[in-house]
Amino acid sequence: MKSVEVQRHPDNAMHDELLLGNEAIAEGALESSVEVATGYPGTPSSETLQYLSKKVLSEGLQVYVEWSTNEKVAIDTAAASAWAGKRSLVTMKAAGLNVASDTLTNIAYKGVKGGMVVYVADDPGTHAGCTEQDSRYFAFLSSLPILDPSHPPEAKEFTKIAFELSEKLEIPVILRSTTNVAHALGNVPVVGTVVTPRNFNFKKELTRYTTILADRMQQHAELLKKIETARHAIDDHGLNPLILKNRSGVVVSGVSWTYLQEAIHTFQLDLSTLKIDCENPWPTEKARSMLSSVDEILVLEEQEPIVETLLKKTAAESGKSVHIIGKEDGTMPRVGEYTFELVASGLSKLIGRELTLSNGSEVAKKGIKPVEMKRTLSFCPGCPHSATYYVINRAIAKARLSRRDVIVTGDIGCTSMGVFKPLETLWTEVTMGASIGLAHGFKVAGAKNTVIATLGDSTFFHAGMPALVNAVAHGSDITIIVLDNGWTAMTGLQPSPTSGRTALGKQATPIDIARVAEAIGAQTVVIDPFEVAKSTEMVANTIKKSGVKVIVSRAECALQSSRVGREKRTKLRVNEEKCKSCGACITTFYCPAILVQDGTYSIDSLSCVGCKVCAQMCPFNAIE
Amino acid sequence: MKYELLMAGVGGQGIITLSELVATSALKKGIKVTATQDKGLAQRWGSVKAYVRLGDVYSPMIPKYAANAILSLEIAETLRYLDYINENTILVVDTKRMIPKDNMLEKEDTLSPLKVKKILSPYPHVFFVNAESGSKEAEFGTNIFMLGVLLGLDGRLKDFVTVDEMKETVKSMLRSHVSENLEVLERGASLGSELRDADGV
Repeated sequence: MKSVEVQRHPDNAMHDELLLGNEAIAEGALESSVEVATGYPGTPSSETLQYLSKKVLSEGLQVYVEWSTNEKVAIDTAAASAWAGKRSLVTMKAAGLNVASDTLTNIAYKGVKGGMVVYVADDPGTHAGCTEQDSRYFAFLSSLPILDPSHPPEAKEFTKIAFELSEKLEIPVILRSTTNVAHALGNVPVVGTVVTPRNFNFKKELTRYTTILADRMQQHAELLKKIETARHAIDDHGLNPLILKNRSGVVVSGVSWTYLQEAIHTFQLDLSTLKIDCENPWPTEKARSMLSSVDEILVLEEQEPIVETLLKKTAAESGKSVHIIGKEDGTMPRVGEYTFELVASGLSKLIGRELTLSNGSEVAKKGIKPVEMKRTLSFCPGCPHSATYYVINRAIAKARLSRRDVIVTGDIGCTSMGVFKPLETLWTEVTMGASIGLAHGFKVAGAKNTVIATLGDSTFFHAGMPALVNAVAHGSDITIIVLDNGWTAMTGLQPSPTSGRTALGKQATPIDIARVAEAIGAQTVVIDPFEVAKSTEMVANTIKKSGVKVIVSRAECALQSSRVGREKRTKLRVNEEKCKSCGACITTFYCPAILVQDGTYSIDSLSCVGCKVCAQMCPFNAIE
Repeated sequence: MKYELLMAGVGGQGIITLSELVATSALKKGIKVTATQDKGLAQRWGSVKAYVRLGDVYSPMIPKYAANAILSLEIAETLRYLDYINENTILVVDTKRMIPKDNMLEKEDTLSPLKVKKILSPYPHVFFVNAESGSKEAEFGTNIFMLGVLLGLDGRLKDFVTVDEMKETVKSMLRSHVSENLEVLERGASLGSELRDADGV
């Protein structure tokens, strides 16, 4: 196999750039001559491919970047490149790895030729509203090596190591970050690179690339051997650094290492440390050395007690009676992200001395607590989703049904905000595409109610389509409303299959959801959510019919249309003579552009995009 | 030596841009930067904060009671971060109030500018600024104006970022309205130095 050639860009000497952890990973991939990068958008992972596509476009790099339909498609696409000898990267959020895991566990057996890195970003603290799933478990589930960087520059370095490891061991390598690595900004040394393409070289090897003809148990045995071999390769890269200083030890992984460094420097601590860069394979020897050199160990890791469990296992095997504190004894939490203060309190317990910055602060002694206040998220001004939910609420009334009886299941993405006040249309929000399966499920369970599912266009293609097929194939009786705004908006306006363009800005065929739904066999209606009366009528009529109905509510995301200046619409204003201050625009619809000050209503001309929904809903026609 | 800057506001006010301007300026000078931002909710009118940590720093988040400065673009949002203030923390606060939709129809704003000012009164270095009128009611750039005020006001920041360095960064980072933003930055900085002279910080 041809070795990787990374040529320095002639005008571009090594220099520091301010990059997010996610962007640093993209730079690491470029310096590793990645040729194919795929993924599905998901906070906090999305900036890796966004940065790559920007770079590819501005510098004319020979890298293929794709926002795939879902994570399963993304990992399949990346795997093929790796089988053909090219280096590939696939990116996703934690929930996405659940979707991609079917292929992940399978290709672990089959292995790869070109290096393949599977990047997953976990979200302790649930900033993006998902679960606190610890994706490190997937490394054990699939018997694949995992690298766990602590900060942006390391994220770049580990990406490069991951590609090398993957190619050396011929298996995919998982690269895992958490929010405070993925979304942290830091100085990252960057070399402008020119990716050197490799030849496409995929050979028919039926006993390897098929499952039915492969000796799966032998493949499994080989995989287990590879993960053992990985230990040496990982040592060669100097990972899992061990520093023995005194009888108090800290074993630490991920971003917690940065809080530990902060504490060591702030409080002048002298501690033995073992930094776990790689949970699988577990650095047994280094863990043993640590256990022989200290009396007590604090384990610092966000999320689940994985390092803690492995360390305790090593301690038990080697007969060391070292006192290990961490999550299981309650010293550190299993819920939420770690902070400097949490790490400092864990260290206080370890060394038996109070470590706190608030000591001596007169202000802290006053005990003034931060003020709690709500600031619920809103749909943007001019958001078509906001209009659609308003229409759905009105249509339920128009169909002489009660909103207490009509079950409306929701889905992931911007559409999930239909749960907030004042719309409060949605009853559920689970995982990508689940709105349809749940809606069908309520009917199967015997619901006499009218049941509606709502989801976005990207979500529909991601995992909604199989559920629609299932509903039609089983003669279900539900209405599915696809809020088609043409983009994957929540994660930063990535293209969706309805956008008609790719991650690299190429023209593509926009896929018409109405035609898809029709082909599947659903009764299909298309509405314009900004035509409130007409759309209300159409939705009311549709939900009364039996069978599987699909309503496509189609209007482009307001952020995107105002960003590209596609449509300049007249901004609205409140006619103060007509306005009766009834508050209906706030209590039944709500738009951030509508302001109320001392009982007087006005429209913020900077925010208003002129969608006219408020004008159509105002009972006194006071908005013009 | 380090400088810890917490920026607070509401999605859409340009907090993330501000934090990137400061971080980029420092980086150009060869200063170590760690920072985090609330990503993903910026366009959705939620509360947004950013930490920018410069100098001898390791982790992305500012420790409690350790902010050198808090720059707040919405007066009530400041109150979320009282546990970052110590006796030397400088607060530069835009008096602008954006009432959350949750409270919009309440008879009285429980966190009106007057009430917030009262809550903040025990703190020694709080500077209230009306950015909208200070920036001459520019349709944009109140965030840049506020940044200018901080740069003019807090002498400790000079070792990390100066007004002139910030101007260069604005030129290289902002895509539109560059000259207007430079003017607004300048205007903010001169207000900042006036406030400093008056207060004797």
